[in-house]
Amino acid sequence: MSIPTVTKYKNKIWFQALITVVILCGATILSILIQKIGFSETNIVVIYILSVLIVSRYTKGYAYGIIASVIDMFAFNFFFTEPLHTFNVYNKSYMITFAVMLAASILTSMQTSKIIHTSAIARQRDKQSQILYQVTSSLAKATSVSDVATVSAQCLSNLLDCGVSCITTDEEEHQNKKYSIKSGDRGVTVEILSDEQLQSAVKDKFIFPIADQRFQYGLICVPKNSIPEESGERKLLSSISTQIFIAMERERLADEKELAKNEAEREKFKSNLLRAISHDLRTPLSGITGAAEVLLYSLKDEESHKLVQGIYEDSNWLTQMVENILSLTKIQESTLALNKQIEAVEEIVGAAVKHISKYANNHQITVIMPDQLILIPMNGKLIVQVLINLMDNAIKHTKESDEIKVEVSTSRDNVWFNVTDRGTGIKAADLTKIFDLLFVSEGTRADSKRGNGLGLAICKAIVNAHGGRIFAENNIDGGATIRFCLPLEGKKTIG
Amino acid sequence: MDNTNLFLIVEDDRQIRSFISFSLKTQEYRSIEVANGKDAMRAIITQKPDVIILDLGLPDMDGLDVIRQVRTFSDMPIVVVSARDQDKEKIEALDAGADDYLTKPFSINELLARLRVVLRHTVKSADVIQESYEVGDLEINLEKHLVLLHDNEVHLTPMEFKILALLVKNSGKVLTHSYILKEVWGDYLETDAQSLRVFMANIRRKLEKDPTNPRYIITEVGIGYRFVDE
Repeated sequence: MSIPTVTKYKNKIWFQALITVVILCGATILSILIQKIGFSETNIVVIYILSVLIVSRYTKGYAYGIIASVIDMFAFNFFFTEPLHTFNVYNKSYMITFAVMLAASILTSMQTSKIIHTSAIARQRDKQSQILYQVTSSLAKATSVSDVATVSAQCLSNLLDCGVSCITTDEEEHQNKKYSIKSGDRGVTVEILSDEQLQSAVKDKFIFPIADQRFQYGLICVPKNSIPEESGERKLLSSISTQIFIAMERERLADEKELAKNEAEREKFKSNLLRAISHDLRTPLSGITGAAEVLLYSLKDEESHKLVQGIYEDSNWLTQMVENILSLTKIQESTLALNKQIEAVEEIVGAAVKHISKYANNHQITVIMPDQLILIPMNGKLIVQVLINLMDNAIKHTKESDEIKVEVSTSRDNVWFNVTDRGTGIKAADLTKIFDLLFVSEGTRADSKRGNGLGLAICKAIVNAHGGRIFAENNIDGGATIRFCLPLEGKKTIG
Repeated sequence: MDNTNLFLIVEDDRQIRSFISFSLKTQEYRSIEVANGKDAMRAIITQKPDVIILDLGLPDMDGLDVIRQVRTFSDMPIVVVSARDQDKEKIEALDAGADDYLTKPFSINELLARLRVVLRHTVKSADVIQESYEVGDLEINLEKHLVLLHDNEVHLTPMEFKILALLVKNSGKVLTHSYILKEVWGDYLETDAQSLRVFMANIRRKLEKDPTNPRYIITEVGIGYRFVDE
């Protein structure tokens, strides 16, 4: 019998039974020979026990060993104890021999089977970890998702000795790609699958998803007949698909990181450009504003005066916008390096009100402050700018002589600043949007007052950089309130 | 006031330079214009201007160096002009001995007002050191340690008085936080900046009707304090 044939029949029941019978017959014949030569019966018992051991070694499971033990006991009884060739016993002391023999045989067979079983498991585990190691190290060398898919198809095809396909799904491009390899072939073919083709590709196949609870990157399809039902290979395959998942995840994260890096660089370039332009605009604007102002005081002719007034106002507006852009780019870049100092809230509010009063010709600005001194860490200049922007906004949206109220109050963790006007209020749909960059309300008065959608966006950026929050709301009795808070004691709040 | 005062305008932007000099001319002041630090130093030594209007961002040298060099031999008033985001430079300039600062873009009226204050000071400092100051309803006698508001005595703690006296002696001028701390406390830590805010709040509560709209002590956010001049 050649070795492949043995391997082929090894697991069949009739083959194992045959082995058992052959060995037991051999043992019996050997025992008869020994008896004929005239050695003692003890040797026969030992030979039978040895035969059980051999049976256990070459068969699978406990059953053959135990059956062999029982048969041995009866064979000993039948062939070697008086009266011969019957199952009766004259000498009752043989009963003990039978019992001991049976017990010893059974124990031996059980032990042997157990050892064989354990070593089989160990061998299998060893093989699995070898395979896993191979797969992992080839996956580690892969440098893209398609690379990972190719490598996994190759590895699995080698391992299972059959055709394997790995299907990847790209969520963003909504595309399925199939990397398949035929049995005994080295080359991997790649094709793009439509949804119907995907359905047929997975039909009648074992499917191992390349996924965790959240993401699915694809599937591994293996022909159904290539994996034996109960074997550990399925477990192995699912752990390989986990490895593939990890490799794909790694590639995806690397791609994402690269993308984010590019994005950040583009952003940085944009804001650098914006800042460079704004910076260069600043000096000529100062010149234009200043010259226009000088002319305003010296020109007596009313026509010209009006024209110069226009130049002065527009250049002032431009200057303000340029300064706003500069602040915004600066805040966006250095949120962490705010350069905060302990400031007295009353000084900050006072400075803002003093600045805005220059431009608030007829508006009345009322300040309500708690009497106690409030000290909080902040960048004073930036918060002054927030207050100025808010008051400026209020002035733009109210009639002259209207009251603008600035109110400061403290809660347990925050200092609240409210800027209230008695104007037309904010459209409900715009309440959450007004802090967005470049948002300009499409209201009826869109053309009457110029806004560039920067002022409130800057307020939000500054307040957020301080760990505070900013809201807009309409008052019950008309007008709008914009409120923002800054954390007391510099406690960082998130969001 | 002597209107023949000579001003030196140090500014690299021609446009700004010319409208400053134009507006000085409307006030019948005389002025010299230079565009860089080297020319400025030469003009300071040869022409001896009464006031320097100095842009901090010069093409050839740091405006701060100009201030430091001038201060080695002269007390002539220096008004610094700088961009809005140059707070650090402003503070350094003030600490180096500049008398006042203006942030670009500034209005002509503001510039002229500041220049008037600076000029008034040069006249004053020529006199003997003043003992008592009167601003609005406030009267401060440094020698007698007396502060009167509406002719009623205001009780200040010694420390409060020391701070007030320092501000009053330099009225019209911006004093930086660090300068006040150094003068009043001697040695100081960064954390003392907080105590300064507290002292200032207490002084304001005693002197000002509305601390958020101060009449006498003006806050220069991020820089320091200024006692009003008139």
